[in-house]
Formats: sequence, C-alpha cells, structure tokens
Amino acid sequence: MAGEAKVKHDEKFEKELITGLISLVLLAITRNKGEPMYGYQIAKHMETGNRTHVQLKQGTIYPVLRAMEKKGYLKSEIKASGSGPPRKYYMITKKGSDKLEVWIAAWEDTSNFVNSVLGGDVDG
Amino acid sequence: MVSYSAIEDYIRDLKRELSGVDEAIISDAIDDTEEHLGLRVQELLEEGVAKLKEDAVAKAVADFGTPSEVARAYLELNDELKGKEEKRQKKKEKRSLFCDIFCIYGDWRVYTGLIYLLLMFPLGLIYFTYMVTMISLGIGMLVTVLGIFILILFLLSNYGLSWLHSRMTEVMLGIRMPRKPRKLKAKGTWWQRIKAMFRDPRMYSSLLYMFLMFPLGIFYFTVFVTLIAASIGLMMSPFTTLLSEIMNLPIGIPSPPEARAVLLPLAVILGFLLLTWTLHLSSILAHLHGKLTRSLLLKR
Repeated sequence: MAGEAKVKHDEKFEKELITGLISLVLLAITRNKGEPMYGYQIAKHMETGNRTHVQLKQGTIYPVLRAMEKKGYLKSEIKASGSGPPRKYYMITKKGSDKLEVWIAAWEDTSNFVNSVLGGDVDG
Repeated sequence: MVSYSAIEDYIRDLKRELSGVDEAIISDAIDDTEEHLGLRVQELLEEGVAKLKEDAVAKAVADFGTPSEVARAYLELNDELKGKEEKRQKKKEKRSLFCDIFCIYGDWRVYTGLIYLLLMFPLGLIYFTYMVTMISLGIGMLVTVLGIFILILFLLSNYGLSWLHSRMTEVMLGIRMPRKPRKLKAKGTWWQRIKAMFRDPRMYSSLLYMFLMFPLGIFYFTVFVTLIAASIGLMMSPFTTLLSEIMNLPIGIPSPPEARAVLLPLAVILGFLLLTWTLHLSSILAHLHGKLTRSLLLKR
C-alpha cells in the first residue's frame, strides 16, 4: 500500500489489542477448522492470518490454550507422532462453542461502537 | 538477545525463568516448548529455509519468543490459578468450627481420596510382584542376552506405569501432574538412549515410589478398613443389639438392658465421631501421599 510507509505503527497498542483478543481468536480457529488441531498448527494458522504489524510470539499461545482447556472450552488428546515428541490435539467443546458465541457478540458490539465513534456518529 | 543453537539450551533457560513456580506448570511449559520447537525445526530443515540444525533452532526460537517472554505467559496462568486457590482458602477460613469438622461429608474429593488410598494396597501388590519378578528374572538371566532385554523392557514399562499412576493421582486427588508421557530425550543409537535412561534420576525415583507403594498400601488399607469397620460397627450397634435380642445371636454390644438407654446412643455418637475423624485422617494422608507421588514421579 502506498500509505503504508507514512503511517507509523504503534506496536505496543496493537500488541495490547491482539493480546486482549487472543482467547477469542484461538477459540475461533479451533472451531473453524472443525477437526482437532495441535498447538503448532494453531500457531501457524495465527501467523498466516495475522495482518497486523505485531508478530505475536508463538510461545505465548500455549498457556492460553491450556487455560481454556482448564475452563472447559477446549478438550485435548495426546497422540504419539511418528517423529518428534507426542502432540497435544485441541478440540472445541460445547461449552467452548457457547462461549465463543457470547464473545463474538461482545466483539461485534464493541467494534460497532468503536467504529461509530471513529466515524463520528457518536459525540465524544 | 541470546541466540540458541540447541533446544536443550533454550529449555534450560526457560526452566531457570520458571524456577519457584508450580512444578506442573513447569512441566506443561517444557512439554509445549519441546513439541513446538521440535516440529518447527523439523519443518524449517525440510523446507530448506535453514540448512543447519543450529540455524533452524535459532530461527524457531526467534518466532517462539525468549525464555523470559514465554515464562511470563505461563506465570500469568500461574497467578490466575493462585488467585483461585486464595479464594478457596478464604472461603475455608470463613467457615465455622462446626463446618470445619462436619462439612467434610459433603466433599466428594474426600471419598475419591479414600478410595485412592484403599486402592494403593492391590496396586502396590501388583507393582511389587511385577517389579520383583522382572528384576530377579532379568538379573537371573543376565548371563544370557535375554536378561538385559528383560531389564530394559521392565525399565521402559516403568515409565508407562508411572505415567498411568500420575494420571490416576490427578483425577482422584486433584493434584496436577504431567500431561503426557515423557519421551526419552537422548537421540542416537540404542546404546546411547539406554545409557541416558540409566542417567535419568526420575527413573530411580519412580522405581523407589513403585516399591514404597507396597508397604504404604498395606498401612493405608489396614488403618482405614479397621477404622471404617469400627465406626460403622459402633453406629449400627442399636440394630445389632436388637437383632441379637430377637434372634439370640452373639452380636452387638453385650450390656445389661438397663444400661442400654445410655450405652447405645453413646456408641452411635462415638461411631459417628470416629467416622468423621477417619475421613479427616484420610484427607490428610491422601494429600501427603499426593505430594509424595508428585515429588517422586514429577522430578525434573
């Protein structure tokens, strides 16, 4: 893009935005795929779909996955792999799908609100 | 920034960053890191992005995050868990003395803990028999090559058994344990791998644990079967005394009929208190045993 060079990126701000939404993004990835995924696949998915200027460190998504498993949004299964260490496959649960719906609704409300403020529809 | 040329070095620094944190979280972090970096390095080499393994590791680590960045992400998880634990503790502190003593009946964890302790006896017996048979068979046949195979097979199965046992401990006692079987880290020839296995302190500690299960199992079984039988016996004494009266059986508490009005209710109360105390004892022992299991099977 032509404008890209001129716009300065506030990485800290972008990072805070994406970090706050990481659970939503990870849960959505596991649902959209429709089949069990292991951490590395999820990380790759994040990387290819990420259009922001922040490269999230892949190591930071694993604790989030584990936390969501603890909360019952994801379930996991360990499968041995032909080469390398055994892999932990994550699948979304019914509870996770329900939660995702709630989060998506919250995200839509928030982004609509922010967009309307940015578009000048709402007076500050 | 430190550049890493081997996954092991990275894991070592990650462990250092996480020192003092819950063992299970360290174990989770290492498992996740090994899985991710292992796959990433393999992919980078296969795709030809990196020619040398050292370069592949350096690139993989750069995308994965520094040990301190990754450790921080796990520490946040740890803080969240700690917060929950504190809340639980506060709730406990608020309880009255009466609840401290008797609310134990409503805690299902106590029952699974008691079953766990009782199961230690048959399981300990099985492990002990298996261990003694395999070791003596292996040593006895050491003069032939077969003896070495039997011993190695036994040590490998010991990894699997400890894993199964730690899963059982997590489910029944609610103590967090490692999530997946450890892969033998050493690469190379079979001989090198076997040597690495003998150098693994966890192998010896898990053997010690499997051995300890037998005497401990006998102890738990004897103590709890006796205590439970005694408390139920005391609580049932009015019925058994009545039954002995009607059917003329030699059961119940032998007592003169005029003393029964006092003795029997007293026996019921005593039995109930003994059962309550037994449950508290089992809760304490299950907790201690869980700690033992964790320190011997989860040593890093």
